[in-house]
Order: sequence, then structure tokens, then C-alpha cells
Amino acid sequence: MTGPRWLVPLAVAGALLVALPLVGLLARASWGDMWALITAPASLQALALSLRTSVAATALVLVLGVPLGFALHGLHGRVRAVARAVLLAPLVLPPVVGGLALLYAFGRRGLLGGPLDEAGVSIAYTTVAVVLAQAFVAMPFMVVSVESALAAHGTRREAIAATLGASRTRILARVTLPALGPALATGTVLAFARALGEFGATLTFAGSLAGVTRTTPLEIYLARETDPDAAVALSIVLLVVAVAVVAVAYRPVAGRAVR
Amino acid sequence: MRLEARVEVAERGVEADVTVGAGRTLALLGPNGSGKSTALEAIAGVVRPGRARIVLDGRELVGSGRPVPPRDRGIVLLAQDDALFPMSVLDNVAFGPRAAGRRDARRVAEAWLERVGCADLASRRPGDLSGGQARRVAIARALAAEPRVLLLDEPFAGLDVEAASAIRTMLRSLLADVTAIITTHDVLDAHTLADDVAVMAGGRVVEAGTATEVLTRPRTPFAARMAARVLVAGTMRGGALELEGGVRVPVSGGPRGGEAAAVALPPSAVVLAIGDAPRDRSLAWVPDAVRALEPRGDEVRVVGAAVAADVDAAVAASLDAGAVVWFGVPRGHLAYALTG
Repeated sequence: MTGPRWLVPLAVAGALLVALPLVGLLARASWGDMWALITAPASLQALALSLRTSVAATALVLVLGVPLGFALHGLHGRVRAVARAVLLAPLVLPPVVGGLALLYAFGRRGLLGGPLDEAGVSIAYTTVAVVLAQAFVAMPFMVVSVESALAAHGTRREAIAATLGASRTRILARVTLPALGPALATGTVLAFARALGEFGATLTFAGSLAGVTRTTPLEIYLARETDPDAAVALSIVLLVVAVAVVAVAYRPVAGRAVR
Repeated sequence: MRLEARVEVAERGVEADVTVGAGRTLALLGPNGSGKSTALEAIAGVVRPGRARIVLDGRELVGSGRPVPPRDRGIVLLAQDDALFPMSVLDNVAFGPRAAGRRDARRVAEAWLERVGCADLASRRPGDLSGGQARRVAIARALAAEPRVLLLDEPFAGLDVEAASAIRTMLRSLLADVTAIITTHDVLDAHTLADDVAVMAGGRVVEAGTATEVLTRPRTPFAARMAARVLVAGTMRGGALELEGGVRVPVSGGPRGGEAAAVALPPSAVVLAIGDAPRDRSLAWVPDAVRALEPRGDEVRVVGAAVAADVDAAVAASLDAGAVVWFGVPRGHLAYALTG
């Protein structure tokens, strides 16, 4: 322990603030019925929808977020600062604001939603809307991961690869992306976790239709008064996933430098 | 493939002009920080030169028009840090052939690994290699790409003596038919590997020619120093070299009387005397003052204004900068003209 002793009681208080609610949740759980509660139709439906949409959102984040990270890395000076501020805003934006913003972009009367609606395509209040909301809030994790990894990686190996006759695409696929592997893994896991927990933007932009847009967090919110046992059981599932994700994503980077 | 290159990298103070003939090996000889690496990186396109003209076999790669991108130049750089990719050793070596679309890339890579003595390392990852192994793999990868010109940046840097000497021997045969430029600060590399030598100082080539010319008949004190020689320069007068100050060193050969000439001696051939004028008439004695004392292993190089000598550390211990000494230069060394 470094630092003066009076830090200790404050640290304990901080730990309690974080740990006590989790203990409270675990204490409230009816462990005997746990399996039955999780496998109840409404719970299973919500969990399955959450899994499907989160996987889809994570895939979307990978496909779009990685190029975005490269693009951000390629910008310079003030342009980069502004672009980064805009792209990373969803990290700190209240999700309900994000949901409202999505509604005015992709909703029936939104910027893009209006023309789409006339073409017979409606996004708001569909499963697609859930995926978009999740991708919206999860994207920054991937962008940040990729951008900072690129900054640390440098461009030397890429330049050497070019002298060996490789095209840019080959260099990206065989040299750059493998070197970014750990960053991509971290970005993916964090994005998936963020998508899985998405609540505010989903509720605002996609609503709460059982089996269509009612993901696990929404199901928990609905069930907390009618069926608190089920709400607690689902909460514990999400808690386990969250702890597992943090354990994977934030483990200290092993010192196996690529020579 | 004859390569002519003139590259300027202003932010690193480099403005180098090098030429290497087809199938020959040019050593860029210079101390650390003289711009050798930057010159190579600029030729390969790893760093972007401010201004450059690179002509390979009569075709202008970089110059007035749009520069040919590095991947189409056929100029491969073997970097000091090896820069192996995060893939197996075999995939590293197969990288060039695969980029060229060769179907037999794997076989080509295996053959090259065999030639550099690393066939048993094919499935290893770069992080699991020793320094010498990594260098061998990097050499195999560079040659497997069938470069038109191979640039080797200090290929023995960071290796232990044994690995360095094994790789030096290997490169000697591998580079036989390859057009190559090798940077080094070690005159031994220039002697053993190079046909031609260009001496670099402060970002510029200060002297260039065949290895024999530059290493045994250097024209500038700096080139002589890089070639581990002492340059004793003066004017030819009747079979002797007359130094500044009037001392005459009898020499053999040399240009006509009145022309600037020099002899290049190994510093160990020069004798140092302290005190009164020495009597030994078999040597030509040059009075001088000590400018610097440079420790070299178990000897110390005593550097004067005109001559230098390697002496025992115990002798050098009694000297300080400014001390008055006599350098005994052996007679009869072959003199050569410094002009023209």
C-alpha cells in the first residue's frame, strides 16, 4: 500500500459503495428457483433477443468501428480533436438523449427515416432499431481501442511490408490487423457488454415490444414490480456477464512483445 | 541492376548521393548518426525524402514525375530491428513471394530458410527467436522477395560476436550476385562484404570509390579514420613526402614533385616517442601535439594534428591533451596522389 493511511477508510467506503449493491442483489436472489426463473418464457425470450441483437450490434461495430478508428488515426490536429469529440460523444451522452437523437435520424419523421418510410421501410420500434441503438452506444469503445492501438503501433512494419511488394490490403490484413489483435478483442468485448446492457436509447428509439424490442434490461425494468424474483434472476445473469467481460478485457497485457 | 540514388531528408540533415553497379555491393561506411540508415530508408521509401532522384537500371523510380510506390520498386530494406511480422517464421519468409502472387511461395520460403540455416524454425513465432535467428529469418524474408536491390541496415548490429561472424560469412556468399547496399560503422564489414565503399559524414557522402581505393588510399582524414588508417598528407618532393612544418617522410611511388600526396598507415605501425628528439634514423620523426586520447581495448590511440599512433595504455597514461610528442613514421610506404 502506498500513500498516507487516511486513504484507507476512504478506499473502504468506495469499495462498499460499489460492492454493497452487488451483495444486496445476490442476497435478494431466491437461489432455489433461479433456474426456473431464468428459463421462464418471458425471461428466455428477452435473453435470446438480447443475445441476438448484441451479437449483431457488435458485428456492426467491428465492420464500421475499425475503419472509423483508422480514419480518426489518419486525421491531424484540430480536425482530429473535433472528430474524436463527436465520435466519442455516445460514451458520455445520456442514453435517453441518444435514443431521441436516433429517433430524429431514423424514426418515421427523421432525417433518413422519412424517405425510408416512404419507400416502405420502417426502422423505429423494430429489432433493427434495437441493434442500431446498441451499435450507437457501443461504437466508441471500438474506435478508441483501434485508434490508441494504431498510435502505439507505429507504421514501420507496414513500410517494410510495402518494400516486400505487398499491396495495402495485404498489409492491412496480414500485418496491421494481427498486430491490433488484442485491441480488437478488447474493443469487441467492451462493445458487446455495452450493447447487452443498453437500456435508455433502446427504450426511447425501439420501445418495449415483447420478443421484438424488449431486451433483458427492459424486461428487468418491467418485471421489477410484478415479478421481482425474475428481475433479480435476470440481473444476476447480466452481472455475471459484466464481471466476466471486465475480467477478460482489463487483464494486464502480457509482455509478449512481437519482435 | 545499377542503382543511382540521390536523396535529401532535410529534417535529418541527410543529402546523400550513392551509386552501386549491377551485382555489386556498396558499403556505406560512417559513424553512428552520420545518416546512413536514413539514406537507406529514403531509397526504400520507408521514409519519404524531401527531394530525391532514384534511377534503377536506367528507369527513373523517383524524380520528376510521380514516384513509383515502394511496393513496385523491387528495393527491399533489411531493417536493423528486423521488423518481423506477427506470424510464423515460414509465413514471414513467404510474405514476399505471396505478395507477388507466387503459388509456390511456401516452397520458396522453405528453400530460403534452409539456405540461412533456419529450416527447423519454420513454425516458430518471431518473439521466440534469438537475435541471431531473427536476423537470419529477416535476411531470408528479404531475399525471398527477389529484390532487384537489397538494402541492409547494419546487419550485425545488436548481435553477439559469434552470431555476427556466422552471419557475415553467410552474407558473403548470399550477396555474391545481388545488387546491394550495406550500412556499417565497421571497416571489417566493408573489407569482407563490399566491392565499393562510400564514406558518410554529417549526412553526406564525403568519399566514394572501390573498396581498395577508399580503404587503402583514403583522401580525407575522416575516411582514413573510418578505414582505421592514419592519413599522413603532404607535398611530394624528391622521393619524400614533405609535411607541413618541413619534416620529410621518405616514401615509395607517389606523384610528381610538388603535388599533394599521402600515405595511409595502420596506427599500430606508427611509433610514439616522448621527450627529446629521437635518434632512430630508420623512422621519420614528426613533432606533434596530442589532440585527443581514444581508448581502444587494451591500447590507446594518441591523436595528433598530423599523425596518430596506437600505444600501450601505460604509456598513454603519462600524456595529456597538448603534450608534445614525436611520431615515428616508417619509411618507404607507398604514397599516392591526393588530387584528381
